[in-house]
Amino acid sequence: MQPSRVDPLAAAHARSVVLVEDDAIVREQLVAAMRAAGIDVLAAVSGVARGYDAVVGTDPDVAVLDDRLPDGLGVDLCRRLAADRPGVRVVVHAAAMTTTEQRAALDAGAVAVVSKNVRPDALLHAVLCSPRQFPGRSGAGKVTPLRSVRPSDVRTKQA
Amino acid sequence: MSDDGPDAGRRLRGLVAANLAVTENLTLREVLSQIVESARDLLDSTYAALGVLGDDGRLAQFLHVGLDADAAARLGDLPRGHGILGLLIDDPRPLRLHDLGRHSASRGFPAHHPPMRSFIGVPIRVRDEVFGNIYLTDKRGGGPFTAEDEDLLVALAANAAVAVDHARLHDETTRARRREQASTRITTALLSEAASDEVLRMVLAEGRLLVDADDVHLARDADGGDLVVVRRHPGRPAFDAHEQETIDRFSEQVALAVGRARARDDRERVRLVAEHHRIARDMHDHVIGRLVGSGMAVHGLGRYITDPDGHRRLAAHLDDLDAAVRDLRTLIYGLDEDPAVVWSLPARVAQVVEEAAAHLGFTPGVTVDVTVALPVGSTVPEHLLGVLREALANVARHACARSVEVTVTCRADRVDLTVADDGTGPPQHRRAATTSGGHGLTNMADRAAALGGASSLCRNVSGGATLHWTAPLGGAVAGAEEGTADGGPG
Repeated sequence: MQPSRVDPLAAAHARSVVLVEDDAIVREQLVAAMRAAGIDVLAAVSGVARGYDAVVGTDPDVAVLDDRLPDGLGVDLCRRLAADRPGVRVVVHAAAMTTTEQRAALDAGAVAVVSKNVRPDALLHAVLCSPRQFPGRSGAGKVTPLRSVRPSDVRTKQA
Repeated sequence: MSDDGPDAGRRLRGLVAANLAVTENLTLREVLSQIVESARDLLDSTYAALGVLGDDGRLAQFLHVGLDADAAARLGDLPRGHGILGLLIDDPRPLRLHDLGRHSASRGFPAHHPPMRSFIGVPIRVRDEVFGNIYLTDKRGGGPFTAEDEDLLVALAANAAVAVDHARLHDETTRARRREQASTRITTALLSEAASDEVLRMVLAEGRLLVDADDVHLARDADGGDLVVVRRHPGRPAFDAHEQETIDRFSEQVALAVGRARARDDRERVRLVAEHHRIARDMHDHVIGRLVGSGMAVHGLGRYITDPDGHRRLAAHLDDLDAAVRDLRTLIYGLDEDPAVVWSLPARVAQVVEEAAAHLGFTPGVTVDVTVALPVGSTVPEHLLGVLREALANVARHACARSVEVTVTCRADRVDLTVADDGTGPPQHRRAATTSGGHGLTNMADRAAALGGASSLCRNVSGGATLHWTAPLGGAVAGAEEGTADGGPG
C-alpha cells in the first residue's frame, strides 16, 4: 500500500480565492457574495494574463475563472495553472458551455465547472466544497478530500 | 503544257513554287489553304475553294478564297457538296465547264451568291482515296479554263496529295505529342495540391489540347448530371473513333476533378456553417452574460429591501431570470440538463471518500490518475462511484480497518478501481460473501458485468482485503471475456 499523498496542513479549510472575471458587475457581485460567505478574496481581476499573475502571486486555495476572457479562454489559463500551481483548485465559471467544453475544462485540471446564474449559491458551493488537489503533483486529476482531513490522520497515513 | 512562250515558263515556275510551298513542314490546315491560294494564282481564277470529304461522302470542310469575309458571312452555311460540287464527289475526275449555272446538275446559286461562270474541279487523291476536291471558278479575263489549266491543276493536285499525306502524318505526330503532354499535365494537376477549382480549370484547358478541340466545358444534362462538352468549330472534322476513346478517358479524369472541387465546396460550406455557429455562439454568450450580470446586480440590491413582500417579489423575478438563463443554455446548446456544478471525476471520487470518512472514523488515502479523457456520456464514472461508495461502506461495516487506500486509474481503454484496507480480510468463502458481506459485492459484480468488466475481492498478503474493479471504456458490452467474478480466493 502506497503512503497517502495527503498533506493535512495544506488541507486546512479552503477559504482564499482569486477571481478572474471580465464583467465588472459580475465581479463586484461575486466578490460581495464570497466575502459575505467568509471567503477571503485575495484578488479580483480581468483577463488571462492578470489572472495568471494574481494566482501565482497570491497562491489562493481556489481560483475562479470566467471561461471567456478578453485575452483568452479560462480553460487555457486553467491548464497553465494546473501545471504551474497544481495546489490551486480551479473552478471554471461559465456563461454557457457545451458538454464537450465542460469536459475539456475538467480535463485541463478544473475541479468543477459552474454555470453562471443570477444567484451565486452554486459558485459558493463549488468554492467551499472543492476537494483539495495533491500538493507537489502536476497535471490534472490528483485530488483528495478537503474537510474531513484532520491532523490525527497523519499517523495512520504513514503506516 | 503545249505553250512554249514566256507565259508557260512563268506558270511552270508558279507550279514549282506552289509545290515547294505545300510540301513544307506545315500543318494540314496550312497546307490546304496553301493549295487553294496556289491553285488560284496558278490558273488565274477569281475564286478558288477546296472541299474535304467527310465520312458521309459529303464535304466536311470547305476552304475558299476570293470571297471577302462579309460576302461569305451573308452566304451563311458553307456548301456541303450538292449540285455541281457533288458531281466531282460522285465521279472523281477532272471537270471543266464554261458556265456552271447551265449544267443540268446545277441547283442554282443561293441568295447573295456572286455570279460565277467558268468552272474547273479536280479531285485530290491521297493513297487511292479521294481526300477532297479543288474547285476554281471565273477565270480572269472571262474565258473558260483550258486543257492546259486542267493539266496544271491535276499536277498541283497530285503534289497537294503528297503534301496532305505528309501534313496528316505531321499533324498526327504533333497531336500525339500534345496528347501525351496534355495527358501528363492532367495527371499532374489531378495529383497536385492546387485548389480544386483551379485543378478543374487546368484539366478542362488541357482537354482542348488532348483532342484538338476548340471548346471544352462542363454542363448539366436534363437529369442534373454532369456533362463534359467537347466541341470543334463548325467546318472542322468530327472526332474520329480514336479521339472519342480519348474523350471517354478524359471525361473520367474530369469526373475526378469535379469530385475534388465538390468536396472542396462542401468543406467550404462546413467552414462557413462553423463560422456562423461561432458568431451565433458569441452573441448568445454575450446575451447570457448580460442577463446574468443584470440579475446578479438585482440580487445584490436585495439587501436594500426591508419589506418581506418586496423580498418575495424580488425572489420571483430572480427565479424568472434564472429560468431564462437556463432555457437559453439548454435550448442553444441542446443540453438535456443544466447542472449548476459539474465536478471532475477526481473531485467526485474525493467527495465520495469524504462522505465515507465519517463512517470509517478516518480519511482514506486517494490517488486518482486520469491520464486520458473519459468518453463524453460514458456511464462508467457513475458505476465506478457507486462501487466505491459500496466498497467503503463494506469496509466500514465489516473490516475493522484502520486505513484504506483508494486508487482510480483511467487508461485509454479501461478504468480500474482498487480499494485496499488493512482489516480482517474478505469473507472466508463464497456463501458467506453472498449472504452476509454480500449485497455490496453482488452489486459491484453486477455493475462490472453490465459494462463488460470484472470485479474481485482478494486477501492481502499483509492482511486486509483489496477490491479490484475494472470496466472497459467506450462501447460497454455485457459478457466480455474477463468474466463476472464477484469474489476470489485470497
